[in-house]
Amino acid sequence: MEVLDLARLQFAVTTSFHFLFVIVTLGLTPYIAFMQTRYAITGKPIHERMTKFWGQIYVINYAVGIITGLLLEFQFGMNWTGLTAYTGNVFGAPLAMETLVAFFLESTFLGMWIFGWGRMNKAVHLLLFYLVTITAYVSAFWIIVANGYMQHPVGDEVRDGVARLADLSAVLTNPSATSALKHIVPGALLLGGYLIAGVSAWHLRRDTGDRDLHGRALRLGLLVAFFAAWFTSIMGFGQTDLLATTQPTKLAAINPGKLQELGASVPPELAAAGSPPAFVKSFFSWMLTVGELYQYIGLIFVLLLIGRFIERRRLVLRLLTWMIPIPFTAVVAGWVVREVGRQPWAVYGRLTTADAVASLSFASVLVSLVVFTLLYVICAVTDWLLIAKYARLGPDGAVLGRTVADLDREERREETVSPAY
Amino acid sequence: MDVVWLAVLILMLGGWSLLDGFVIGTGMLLPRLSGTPAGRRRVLTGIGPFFLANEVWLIATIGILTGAFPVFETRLLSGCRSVVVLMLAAWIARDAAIWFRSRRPSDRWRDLWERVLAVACVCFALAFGLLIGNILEGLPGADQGSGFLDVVNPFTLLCGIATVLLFALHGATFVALRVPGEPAERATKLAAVLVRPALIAVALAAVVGAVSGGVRDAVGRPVPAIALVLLGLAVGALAARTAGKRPGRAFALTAVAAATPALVALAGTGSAVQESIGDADSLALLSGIALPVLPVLLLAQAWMWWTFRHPVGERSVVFF
Ligand code: HDD
Ligand code: HEM
Ligand code: HEM
Repeated sequence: MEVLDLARLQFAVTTSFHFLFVIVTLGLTPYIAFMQTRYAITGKPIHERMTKFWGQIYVINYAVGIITGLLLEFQFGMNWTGLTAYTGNVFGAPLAMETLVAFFLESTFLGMWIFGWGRMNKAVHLLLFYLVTITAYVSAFWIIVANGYMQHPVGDEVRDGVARLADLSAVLTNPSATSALKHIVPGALLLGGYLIAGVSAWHLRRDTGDRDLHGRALRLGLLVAFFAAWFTSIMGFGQTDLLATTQPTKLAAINPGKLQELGASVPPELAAAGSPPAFVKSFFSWMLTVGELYQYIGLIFVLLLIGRFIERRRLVLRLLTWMIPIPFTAVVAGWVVREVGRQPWAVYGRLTTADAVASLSFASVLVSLVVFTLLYVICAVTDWLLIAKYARLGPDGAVLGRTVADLDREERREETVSPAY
Repeated sequence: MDVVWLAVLILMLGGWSLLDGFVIGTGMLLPRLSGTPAGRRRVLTGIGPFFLANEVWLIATIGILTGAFPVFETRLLSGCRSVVVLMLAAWIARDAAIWFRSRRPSDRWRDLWERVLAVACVCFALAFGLLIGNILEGLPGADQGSGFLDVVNPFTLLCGIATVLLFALHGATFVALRVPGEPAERATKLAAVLVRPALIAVALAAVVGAVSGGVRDAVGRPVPAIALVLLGLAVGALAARTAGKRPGRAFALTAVAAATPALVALAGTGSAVQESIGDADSLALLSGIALPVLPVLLLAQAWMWWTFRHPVGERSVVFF
């Protein structure tokens, strides 16, 4: 173990945790925007309850999305000074835009959405949620652009050993970034759809009440997720093909047959620099397995929706709940393929990971690795337990939109279903 | 261009200090602001709508450092690594405490997170003040992997303590203004107690800085730095006199005081920061897209402040 390995491990652990939460944000917000739109149009209580129930789960999840994101922004300057020195001029622009355009607005609007419940015009309140959804996707866009540059550096010009921005539109339309986005967006909808379906299935199986509400959510989740699964796979194969031109060493590691089929080969200078570890292949196979599983099993679920047959099949409902975690494993596997598959390069073909890391002392990196991993595990586990708790409580436990007066009233009646103070 | 970006940086970091400063200050004082969980929940309701929108100013600051001042960023974050780790850990703990505290009805759960919150907020402010002190000393070189003791000395420690006290004071005037009832009464008393130590700490830090060779070498623009310190002291003293009677004015004054450390550091060492500006072509592109959105960001925040301008009352939405 060297400083380099520790710093890499720290980045891998922290971004993986971050992604487990932000993918839920990306995966839930479009569904919630749809629910709230229906509420705004029809004004029916069922849509209001559905929006509150899922909105609350999203908000609790969001907490750790932010908490885990805080550190990431700082890590470039703390541990990867070589990377910042080489790419700072290119990389900095998308990162700066992400913080300014996306996070700044997203946080402001989300705070207004939470605390403006029932206090503002319904249309404005809905607009706020659209803005939250859009800014979440915008932040994903900017960060993938930064990552895309590391995967496949374009639109720059190297002077005095330092990359400088030469063509912004080339950086923004980097095929490595756009193809990743096209894969990540349906992947998020797949994950969000099965999360909604799995929780709704739990309530239907236990017959906790609100059958109509959970039945509608189940149908929405399964239907969207079915299409999303197909898009995820198609775009994933597109990404695989792209690797033949952008990152032949990665493709050689995950699917050597494909490389030959496309008539590509690994240039000798890249081969000489080294290739990624062999274990990325198993992560890639796992992602493929999950992709295919959800493509076909999803079709069965959709057929079972006919006549609401699925709502009476207890075993199927139980299966749906069990299937919630699987897409999470696929997304982490996908990132391991993308990031570890990039090795030994930090910026592909340009800057090695070894040159990107700061010259720090072993002990100081070890301390930060231990401290942050501990904090992340505590926060993630606490948050997941809270999400599970609120998911089980159902729409009656929703606390969004409660006022000081409601709390006082509840306390007097002493029938606190959900936390009072 | 470099002047413009330095101004944006000062706006962001100064803005963060005065906005998140009151959240941090309130967090430190929370256990003392009310005797009942219900009262403390009201205090959290007071900061609720602003919390998310405030902390993001510091994230934006880092984004601007990465985009416009990459060299300075590296020297700050890598050079003062140990303090940065402390600050981030405290930040994470603070956010976790605010988000989790009210999510379960048990008293033990709430007490636990309130205690975490108070400790985390003190550490957050302390670490930030230590960073300010190090900027004023000209920052240790990047990549030296400097240990904790290289970045902590009497001067930086005084900066840290001053920041803790200024943020606490600012939190107290915020609660006095926004959370009527018991919390406001207690906060007014706390503010009166905090003013004197805060001003003494600032004055001491300024004196130690003025006689220390390192600080004198690093501060390329002593005149604005000294002027800002004096301004901070003056508004702090004024705030003490208005605290009980005019809470709005007291809050405005402590806001300026809370921003003082960041303003002094960036204005005083501004020329060094400016020199670390990124490549001109890259920056021109960034300026073309980033600068036009700044007014939009400020408008969004103004909209939020307008929406939640009323103090906590019966109809306020509770979440944190
Ligand atoms: C729901 C999750 C999910 C599912 C079912 C799949 N993927 Fe995936 N995959 C991701 C979630 C994901 C991801 C987490 O979103 C990644 C990580 C980086 C990225 O761009 O997307 C990813 C990356 C990723 C990469 C790496 C790209 C690169 O290094 O540039 C490839 C080659 C594939 N995927 C291919 C596939 C194929 C062929 C799939 C199906 C048959 C598939 N993925 C299913
Ligand atoms: C959230 C999704 C992401 C995950 C799960 C992820 C995962 C990983 C993993 C597993 C590594 C370790 C590679 C190794 O040790 O072999 C790594 C390294 C790294 N990633 Fe990511 N990554 C993500 C997104 C990003 C993005 C968006 C960026 C850039 C903006 C980025 C920048 C880096 C850097 C700088 C390193 C360290 C240097 C290196 O190992 O090449 N990552 N990441
Ligand atoms: C593909 C990878 C990533 C995606 C899709 C992504 C997306 C998001 C989203 C949607 C949020 C909002 C919080 C939430 O929804 O839970 C967020 C938060 C955050 N992310 Fe990421 N992120 C990624 C990787 C990174 C990396 C590599 C960094 C470091 C530069 C980073 C820094 C942050 C920060 C600082 C926050 C908190 C912002 C706030 O306070 O609102 N993210 N991210």
